[in-house]
Amino acid sequence: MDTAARIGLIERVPLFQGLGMPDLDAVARAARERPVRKGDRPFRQGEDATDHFVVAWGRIRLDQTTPDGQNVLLRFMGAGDLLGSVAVFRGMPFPATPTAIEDCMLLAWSAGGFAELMQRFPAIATNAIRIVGGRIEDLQARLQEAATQRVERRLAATLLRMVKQAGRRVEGGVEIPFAVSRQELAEMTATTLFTVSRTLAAWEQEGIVSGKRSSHLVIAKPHRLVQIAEQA
Amino acid sequence: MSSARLDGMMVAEVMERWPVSVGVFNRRRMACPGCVMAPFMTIAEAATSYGLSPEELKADLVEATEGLTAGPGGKEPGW
Repeated sequence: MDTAARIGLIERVPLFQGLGMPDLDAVARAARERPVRKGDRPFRQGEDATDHFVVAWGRIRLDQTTPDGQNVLLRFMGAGDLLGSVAVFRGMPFPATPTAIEDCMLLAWSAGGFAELMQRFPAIATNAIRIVGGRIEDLQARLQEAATQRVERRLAATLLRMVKQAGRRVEGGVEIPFAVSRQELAEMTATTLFTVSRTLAAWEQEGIVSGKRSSHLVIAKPHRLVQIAEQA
Repeated sequence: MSSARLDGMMVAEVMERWPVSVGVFNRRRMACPGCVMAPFMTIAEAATSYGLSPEELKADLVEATEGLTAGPGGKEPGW
């Protein structure tokens, strides 16, 4: 990718909002390209956090293994998302493992290089604060849901989050345009595969969602799903 | 803004291009402003979800936006 192409990608990334062309040029030149094939992992939970990454294109799932061996699916990430930065800022190992669910391109900056860019272009630091702050809000909401809300409501909220991030209008309703298994939904919603299967089966019966195991989930009754997510 | 133009527009787009339309949804006690599904549901579908006739809702929207020019639409998705 030449510098102009990199700038084209970078200038739309929230982390670099507000930077003028010469600044974007400096950021682009400091980046390394890191293509990641579907199924591969750019780094693993527990490894030293040495680099910041931005997803230029593709889609990634972020998983975390708990001390007793359970898997939690933290979030999906797509084009423009920042990856790994909290660990670098905190001087900690990467807390989660990203896996590419499509072929991806990442742009990477070393910890030192990124720190220098933040010094030169403070907007990057303020953008990073905003982005990370948004993640905290998301996690707080999920924590509150897990502690206080019934699983149907949490599952509906999980689906709505994915719609918000990547939803697409199709003929039958609103599609989540990548494969998400019931197991993955269970790992995102702090519940069991059995409960997710039972809940989705009931929703399919009611015509709220459609889609077989391996194809994309389509929300046929979007208003109904929102009602379920927001019920008292 | 004409009723015909509203056909096929998503709720989010209407609210974005004519901010005054947010008041219509509020008065009708519809939770569309800020709803995740607003970009994915047409005016008619939103109306039906709340037991309103699409024609009623469109009439409200036409009245509220009388004489106003549409703002820029087409916010890029994603990122």
